[in-house]
Amino acid sequence: MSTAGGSNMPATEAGSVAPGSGDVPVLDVFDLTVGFGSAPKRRSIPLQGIHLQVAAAERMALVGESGSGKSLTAAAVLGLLPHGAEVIRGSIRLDGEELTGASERRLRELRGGRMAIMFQNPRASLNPVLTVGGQIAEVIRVHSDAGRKESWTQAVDLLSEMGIPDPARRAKDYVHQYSGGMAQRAALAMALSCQPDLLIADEPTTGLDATLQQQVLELVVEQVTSRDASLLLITHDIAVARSHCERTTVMYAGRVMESGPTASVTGSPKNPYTSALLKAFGTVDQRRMYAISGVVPTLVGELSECAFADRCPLVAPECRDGVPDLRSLDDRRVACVKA
Amino acid sequence: MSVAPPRASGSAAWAGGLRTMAGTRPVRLVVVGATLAILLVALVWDSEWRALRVVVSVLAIALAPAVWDSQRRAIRPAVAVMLALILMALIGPLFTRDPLMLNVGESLTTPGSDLWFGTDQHGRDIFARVIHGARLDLGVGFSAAALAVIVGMPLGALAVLRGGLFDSVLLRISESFQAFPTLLLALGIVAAVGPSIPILIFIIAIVNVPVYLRLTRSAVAPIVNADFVLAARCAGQRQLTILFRHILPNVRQVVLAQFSVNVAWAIQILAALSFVGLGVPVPTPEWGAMVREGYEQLVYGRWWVSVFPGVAILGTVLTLNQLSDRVRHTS
Amino acid sequence: MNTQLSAATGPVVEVRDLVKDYVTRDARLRQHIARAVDGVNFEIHPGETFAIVGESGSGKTTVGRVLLKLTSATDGTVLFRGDEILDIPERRFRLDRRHMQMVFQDPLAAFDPQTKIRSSLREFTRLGGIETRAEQNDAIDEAVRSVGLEPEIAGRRPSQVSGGQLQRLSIARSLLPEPELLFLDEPTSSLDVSIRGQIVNLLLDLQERRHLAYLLVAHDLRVVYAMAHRVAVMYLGQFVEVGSRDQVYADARHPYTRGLLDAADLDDPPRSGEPVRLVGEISEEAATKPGCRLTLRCPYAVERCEEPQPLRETTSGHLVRCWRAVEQPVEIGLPPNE
Repeated sequence: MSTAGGSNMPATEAGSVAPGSGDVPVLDVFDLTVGFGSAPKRRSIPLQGIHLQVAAAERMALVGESGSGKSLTAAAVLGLLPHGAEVIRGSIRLDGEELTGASERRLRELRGGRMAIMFQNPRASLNPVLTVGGQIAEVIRVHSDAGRKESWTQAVDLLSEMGIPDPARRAKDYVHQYSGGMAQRAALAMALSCQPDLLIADEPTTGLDATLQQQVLELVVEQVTSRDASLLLITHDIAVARSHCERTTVMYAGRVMESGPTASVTGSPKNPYTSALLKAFGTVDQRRMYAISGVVPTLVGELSECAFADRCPLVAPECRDGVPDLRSLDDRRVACVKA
Repeated sequence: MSVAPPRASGSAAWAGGLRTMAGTRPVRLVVVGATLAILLVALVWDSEWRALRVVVSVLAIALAPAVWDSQRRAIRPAVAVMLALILMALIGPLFTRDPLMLNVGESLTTPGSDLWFGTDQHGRDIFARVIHGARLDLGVGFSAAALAVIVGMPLGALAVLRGGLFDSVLLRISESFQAFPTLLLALGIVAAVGPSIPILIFIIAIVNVPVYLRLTRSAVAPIVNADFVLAARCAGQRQLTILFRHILPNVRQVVLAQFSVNVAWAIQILAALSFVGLGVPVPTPEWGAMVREGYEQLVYGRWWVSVFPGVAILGTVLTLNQLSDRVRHTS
Repeated sequence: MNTQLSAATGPVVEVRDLVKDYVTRDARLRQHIARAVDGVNFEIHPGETFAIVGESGSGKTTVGRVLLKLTSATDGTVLFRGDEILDIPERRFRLDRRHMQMVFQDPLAAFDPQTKIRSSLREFTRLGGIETRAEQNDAIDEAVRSVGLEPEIAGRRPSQVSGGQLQRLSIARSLLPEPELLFLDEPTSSLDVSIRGQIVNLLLDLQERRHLAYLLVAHDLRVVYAMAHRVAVMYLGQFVEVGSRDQVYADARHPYTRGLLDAADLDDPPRSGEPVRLVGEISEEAATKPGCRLTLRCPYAVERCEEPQPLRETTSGHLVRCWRAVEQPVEIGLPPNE
């Protein structure tokens, strides 16, 4: 992907580049704004002007706390917004194809085909009354013309690639017979069964223990890389982003705060919120932890100032003058007037 | 987690006022409990205590807003209809003719402006009989279901808390009760000791105790080890206090939902028993008995004799089912 | 039970050879015994935080619950201020609960959804011996202020308060009876990252002010690092490594501890020894083994590891349940013993 200068272009122009030129990001979210409730009685605007680009074979981390809108962004991309939520403005493009306003039929084709999702709870994405192998095979059949036998063999192969021991036997098991780590591996196999261009992993390891978390994340990265797919990894843990993704986007209260190469975002953060998050994940030898005062905002409406202003250690009067734009700065984009 | 604003009190201010008048929580519970008890007694056995009935009615009207206010919006229509039915049962009889008065000259009059529901073959006013019948049917229904809850709910909770042998024995006993077909059991007992309203209430209650026992048991089981129950133990509370303050209030939705269905079901049983002639003694106005008396007239086109009490049964049962449904979905 | 007169000396609580079995029966009524805690020993002094870390299924929460007599023990003793408490029947122990309180992982689950926060707190003031309503209210207001909130918030229901605020209220509640020991069961893991620090610092301040003893159970190694004086690493019911915070973090000896630290990706402190990569996941089947329970996941496992492994002291106060860490440190990627 080119530097930030190019990504400031409106999506319409970015999308007009001829396919195959390599400049079209796999995922291009431009000025995405989502609201709950219809216009006159809008209850909240959980996503406000989200910009997010994921290039081919790139791993992007979407970092934020609860209520930051990171999962809702993923839901919007997948066309799975919860009841009552609607896209107010902005566009979402997958390989240059506009997804906002796309038919449910088309979205269904794309989900599990060109884009796939892996949830926090693997048992939620696997049907408990079907065998694990059976449902992976079924997905393969829906999205390709493979036959029953062929799809089953492919499913077993996939499970084996995901490091499940004795895959031919385990494919006939049900998900409740799998341990937590194994179930997440099976969910990954399911997500990758149709060679998606984009894998969205929504907190895939949050319920798992640390040693397992590491194993599963490494597997996800390895599999995505070997398939040349892009990864959008949603996490609350900026340390996970740091060790597994090339680029990082930090969200807060439904806005993008900072976005750029992981090394520079986590190495020399320009948004005070990013620094605060990093400090919260750091260890200090003083029987003290870094604390950000205040509470995490929820159900925000249209903002008139920086969302982090109330909690920011560097807050200045100009932070209250308006919502800071997401502007390009060196190798990244930052929404902070002080940056 | 969202920081919700304090819940806006949507209902009228006087409801709040009355609620404060009713006092703090324990006081309110006593008032409601006493009212309900008097209500039940009045409904079932009182034929003459009109003064008491008026007092009870006034109390019920005074307390209605509190009930109204504490419930969520979705159950209000059903609560309103139910309250109207109860009110009808309570004060309706004051304004109708004598339901027992025979008038052979006026037998089988068609419904009209004077006699709204017409008269039966003995010339008795069907409207008066339907209204009076409400007292008996609702009274038996509510008393039987209430008795079953009062016994079944604590037993079910105790079964979970004690566990082990106590739990097993209780379950086996309740299973043996449930093994009897209710209607046959009721028929048998009534045939043996003769029809009497307290016995009917008792039978219907006994058969329902296992229902509440099992229901409460399954609802309590996931709660007994909940963190807030552990917290109550950390606060040094006695087991019974924890049961009544923390566990049972958290399962009352489920039980309340069952309660409404149960009242409806009790009414149906009473009606069924009366229909086969084993319910209430003959001249007493009771919906099921009235349907039976009228069904012979149906073939002659005199539909009103059994249809009006039938509609009363249907309406009450539907309202109660509706209430049960809504309660279940507001938890 | 003794009062605070003896508080200056000796541990608040001593746990000796604690064992907890969970007995279940399958469809054929055969007994299955799962040993959640298998011979655990430790003590906690006033003003000290003793942390137990480990993955879920390690039995760490069970230790705390047994200690507070919220679950019965199968074997072993717990001495609170020198008095054995496991034998005391629940009926008599009820009021002694004021000496030891608990802070729960999920504050929303720890409050009765049907009652207002104030009435939840009131129950704990009664345990503290405050009888009149006015005094109870004063105590509640003061407790709520002491955790940095306005007393008005206690008038709300649990669902109307944010997670961080509710956890503060949960802490305030647990301190109302003025306990000497607080069992902190994953006190920050259900909270947002930016809120965690607030809660940890609050707990640290309260400990300093009131000289509280903490039993901290957590899997977040950053929180443990900030709070703990001594740390025990637990795996399948056993402590595999016990030591001061710095011994465990900077000089981890047991392969399991090293694997946990490696996975946690901490910035500091710098660790001695090579990073250890554990494979597979915790499996309860291994809990019945006589030898080391980590062999299937440990890169250094050899035949002798299948023999029973006692906790052995490497340096003063630093115990490890791994014979190779004691006898062959260099072979398993550790610096040699001094």
